[in-house]
Amino acid sequence: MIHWLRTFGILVRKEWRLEWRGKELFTLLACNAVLFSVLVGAGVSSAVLDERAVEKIYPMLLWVVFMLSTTTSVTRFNEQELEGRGFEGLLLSGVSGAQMYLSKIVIMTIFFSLSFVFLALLLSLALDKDVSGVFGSLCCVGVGASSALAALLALLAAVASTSKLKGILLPIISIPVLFPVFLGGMEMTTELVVNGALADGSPWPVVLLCAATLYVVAGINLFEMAIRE
Amino acid sequence: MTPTLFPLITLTTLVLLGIAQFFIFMVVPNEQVMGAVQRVFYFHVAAALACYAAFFVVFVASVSYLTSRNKKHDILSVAAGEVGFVLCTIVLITGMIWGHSAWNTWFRWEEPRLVTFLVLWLIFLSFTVLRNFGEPTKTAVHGSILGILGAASVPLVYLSIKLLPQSARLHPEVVEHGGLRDASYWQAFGISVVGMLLLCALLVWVRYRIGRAEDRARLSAREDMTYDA
Repeated sequence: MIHWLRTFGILVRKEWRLEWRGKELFTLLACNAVLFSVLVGAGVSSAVLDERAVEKIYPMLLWVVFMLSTTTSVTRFNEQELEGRGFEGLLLSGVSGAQMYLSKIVIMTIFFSLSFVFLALLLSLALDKDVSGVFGSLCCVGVGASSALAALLALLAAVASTSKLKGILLPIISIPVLFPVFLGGMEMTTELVVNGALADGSPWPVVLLCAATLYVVAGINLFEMAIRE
Repeated sequence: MTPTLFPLITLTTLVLLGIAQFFIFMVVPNEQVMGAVQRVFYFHVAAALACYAAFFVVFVASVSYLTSRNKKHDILSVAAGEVGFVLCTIVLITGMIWGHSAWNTWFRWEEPRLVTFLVLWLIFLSFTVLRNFGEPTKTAVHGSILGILGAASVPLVYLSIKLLPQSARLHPEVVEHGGLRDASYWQAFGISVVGMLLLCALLVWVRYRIGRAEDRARLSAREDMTYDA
């Protein structure tokens, strides 16, 4: 167990260093967040919506932009390992696919969570919607949904990275499967923004947990197959 | 399926579908409220059941391909995926035709079954896109992974849409509530379902045979190239 954890720690550090060296995911997430927020802000301002309407559409826009931004940003996440045959080397050295997959989830969750916080702030500025009162809870929702999102995208990025379509294939194959995460995140954000707190007995945290569990179980069992051939 | 069985099943399917058309348009009386448009129900429900069957085949064939690496199972999952996509399209189109007459709108976002079928259609679409644009040497494994993920997430998609606060059970539950009172309704319904399931099986089988022929041609072309070299 200690050996497993030590190897896992090394892999997390490797993922972090790879990202730190290339800064591709970070740059793409930040650029996409700014770009989509500017488009949404300009679009909504031209629609001349009242404060109540903005309150209702803020959660929806936040989650549409977040889903599009993340699914279009991680397409090159495995590129360096695929080009340098890094996966093959790791598998030959005895590292399991599950360890590689889980280390990717950790790094993706960190970056997606940061992106969510950044996006929530940007959109609150763009739409002139004050979310400071629920910002802490909003961040918790973002981290929970980000972990579910990362669990699926870590697996499907490995599937999409070898295709001819590359950049565009990942959103096409991931968004339909991510539907429960999208609905769960959006509903929890609505409850927070409109009511100031999550509703008593809200089912959405359980939905997010179920989705994350499903994706992690699938990923642990299938990731090695996705990268091996 | 043996070559002698193929004409027999084709003939049975054609006869059953012909009898179903006769019952639907000539025998069953007009429904009291909906009128003639209710007749779309026989195509809609039969195609939906066949679509579920195709999706189940995709799931089972994907699991068995990943465990056995038998190429036949992969070809079967491709065949069932393509046929399922066509059937899912039929379900959506016929549902929209009925919905426009019953609800005066083509689509209702608050209806769980409708949205679930739309997501199912998107999953079939992404499965087909991945099969056609994926890396040729890896599409079998990657397609199987997506097939398993897509099938496993459908119940969660349905549950999450059902949990939405604006969710409404507008979809008629004719069979569950014993709505088919006239004997001719049941006869038309039963024959349509059996006919559509047989058509689904027949199309999957034909597509499977084409897939096997393509595979053999690919192998033979590769052998020729090796011989020339």
